[in-house]
Amino acid sequence: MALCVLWVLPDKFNAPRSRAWRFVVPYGLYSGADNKYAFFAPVVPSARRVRVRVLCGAEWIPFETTVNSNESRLRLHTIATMVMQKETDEQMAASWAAFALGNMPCATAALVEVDYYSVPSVSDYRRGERPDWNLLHVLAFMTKEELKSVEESRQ
Amino acid sequence: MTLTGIARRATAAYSFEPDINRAARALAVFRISLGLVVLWQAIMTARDLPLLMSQFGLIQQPINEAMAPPFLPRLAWFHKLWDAGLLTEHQLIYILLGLYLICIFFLIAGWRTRIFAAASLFFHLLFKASAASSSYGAHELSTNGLFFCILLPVSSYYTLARHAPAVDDFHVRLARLVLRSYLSIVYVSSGITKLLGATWRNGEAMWNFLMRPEVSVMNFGWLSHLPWLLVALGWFTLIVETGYLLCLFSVRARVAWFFGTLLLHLGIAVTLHLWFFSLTMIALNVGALGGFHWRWPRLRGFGNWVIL
Repeated sequence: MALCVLWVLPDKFNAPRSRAWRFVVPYGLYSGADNKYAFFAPVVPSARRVRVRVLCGAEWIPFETTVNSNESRLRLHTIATMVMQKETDEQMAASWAAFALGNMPCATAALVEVDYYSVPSVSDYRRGERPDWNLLHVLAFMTKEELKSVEESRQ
Repeated sequence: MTLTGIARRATAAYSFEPDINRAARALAVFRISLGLVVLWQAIMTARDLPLLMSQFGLIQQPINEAMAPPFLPRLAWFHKLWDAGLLTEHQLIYILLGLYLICIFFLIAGWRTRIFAAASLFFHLLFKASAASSSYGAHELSTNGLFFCILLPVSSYYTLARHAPAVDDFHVRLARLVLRSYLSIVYVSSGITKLLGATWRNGEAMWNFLMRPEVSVMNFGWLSHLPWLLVALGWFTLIVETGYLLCLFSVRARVAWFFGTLLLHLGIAVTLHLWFFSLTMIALNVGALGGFHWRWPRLRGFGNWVIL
């Protein structure tokens, strides 16, 4: 129980992890005591979504990742939030793009588009503004063969 | 007096537990409800497991591996089985899932509870770590819950075992105290972090929460004309979370906070569709706060209600 408290303390209080900490970590992982319970604290972040499109011939086709339950959809949503994080965005987007390219035999390139949901303030909403999706960034990927042919055409 | 004697007396004095049998029943309901929630979650994601955790799934295995904390069990531990051609990766996933479901079933049934709770926790962590990129807060909370099922006396009632363990006064008091202390840490740490920012106090966070695209139950735009209601909802959340500490000391506060947290989590489930998270929290709260006698204030004809 006391160890639970150690993990919820702000980082500045437990930054210098001692050697003893290494023995505590497995306990934290197996008991779940290593959690920080934020529950939308201190702020509610804006919603995000990831859209993937693949290039088949000259046409960009949307690629939908289909799942069988609401719970799986939530888990896809968690992956989408990882695509938004600077530390993981490229690897996650590359993996998603590779999955799309592998599932669409005609595809030679993929675009992973990340949108965020902008919510107007209460007063702006009263004035008529409405929430909307906005493009945040785009990551582009292509197959090795496509990349080779592009490089050859450049030379 | 021995150290154990002091511990027993201190627990008896500070657990504020009016009825031990009802407390033991609440712990048993916690075991069953948590088991059912985890079982439901496992079944709901069963068909999508290859997509979420296999080598060539949506997020490839090396990435999931890198994101998973060390020491935790994972699918890659068994890769020799499919390298040797004994099983395919999909077959292995479903064999492990089958074992997981069996363990949860015996946990719910209350048969050799500690062993099956430990086995359920092992498989739960395996599926969580193998799909680390898609695991979220609810998985962490159910990890806590399953760990408590190993340690706490949760099988004194409603069990298929021939000889249910006898209710031990001290262990039940201690178990409830541990659960309440744990939930106090969970809620109060979250509540304090929220209080430190301005958005939960001025209603802005509640507005942003209710206007998220996942909230499909209705368009809450009408709340822009009632900003005081947003402030009130924000403060309700803050009071439920930070005030949870009172449940450690007051039996009456437990009744109020039981319904407060129930309302909070049902609200989250209905609006954001976070059913797994909400039901896990409700199960934990049943174990920590349930088992009280509640008299309906006006309609006396309904008599006393026992909430488990």
